[in-house]
Amino acid sequence: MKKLEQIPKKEVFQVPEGYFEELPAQIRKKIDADKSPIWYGRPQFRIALASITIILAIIFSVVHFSATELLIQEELSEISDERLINYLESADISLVDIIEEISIDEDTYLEIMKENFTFDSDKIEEEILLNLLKYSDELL
Amino acid sequence: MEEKDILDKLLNPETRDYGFNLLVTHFQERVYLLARKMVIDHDDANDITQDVFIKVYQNLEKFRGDSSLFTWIYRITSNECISFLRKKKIRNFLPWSQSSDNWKSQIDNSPLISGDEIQKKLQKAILTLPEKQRLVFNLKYFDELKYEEIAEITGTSVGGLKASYHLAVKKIEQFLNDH
Repeated sequence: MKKLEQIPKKEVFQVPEGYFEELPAQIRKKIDADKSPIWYGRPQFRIALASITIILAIIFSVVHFSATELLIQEELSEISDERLINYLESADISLVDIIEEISIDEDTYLEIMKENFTFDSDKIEEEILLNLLKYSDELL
Repeated sequence: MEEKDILDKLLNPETRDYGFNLLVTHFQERVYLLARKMVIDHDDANDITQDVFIKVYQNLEKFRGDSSLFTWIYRITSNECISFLRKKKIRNFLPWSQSSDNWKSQIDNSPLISGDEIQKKLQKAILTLPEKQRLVFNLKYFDELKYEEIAEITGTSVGGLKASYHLAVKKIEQFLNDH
């Protein structure tokens, strides 16, 4: 089986001639064009508007979702690991999405790899998924 | 040019614009190449690169020095790339596989992509990865960053990154052997 380290590392992406020489000037041009003299384009106005929007969104979220959140947490805690595993396997959630959401320390990672790593690439995702679920506190 | 020299120029209002020019010159190639690896097309990578530096300029006052300039800029670049890819997917109403096919065609036919057959095949293999995993793979394999640096850039745990990279390598090797 071909290994990644057997392939010479090379930069394959090329740029048009003079691209990097001209890029700083192009960026400067856009920045200067972006400095709007119109009052509603000014940063202070945008910041004020954004702040008010955020505050209103937070108030709405806290009031509307806190009760729902509590209910969801309670319902989730009643679901068995087996049912969750079956759901994850059937749902369109990639292993990578789960791994990247889970905060696992290096020791846990090494333990998982040591216990469960096989060279059968068809089984590797399934095995890692099952063991990550077993060790992790958060599933999603 | 050291990061410290650039930062000193940026923090001084009188030399800020000069410092920003130095910053662009210093980081533009790395920013562009990361974007290009993620989005393949030169024009798209160019747009992302310019957007990154515009955001850097607009947020210079917010930079607190908690991380290095490089980490901060690369974090913006990574976010812009992921955001671009997700918008493109929605905008085109295409399943991921069809977007991927278009990029594979570019890899074969674009005059701005060189390399021999195996290196082009490697790029096609990388295209099969989900966007975040692609980002991690590119940062680790091509940029040769340490996991701790990637963790700072992406906000993902080191353990999660190792697992993600390990899986990416296995998928790529499988692709190389199947095609």
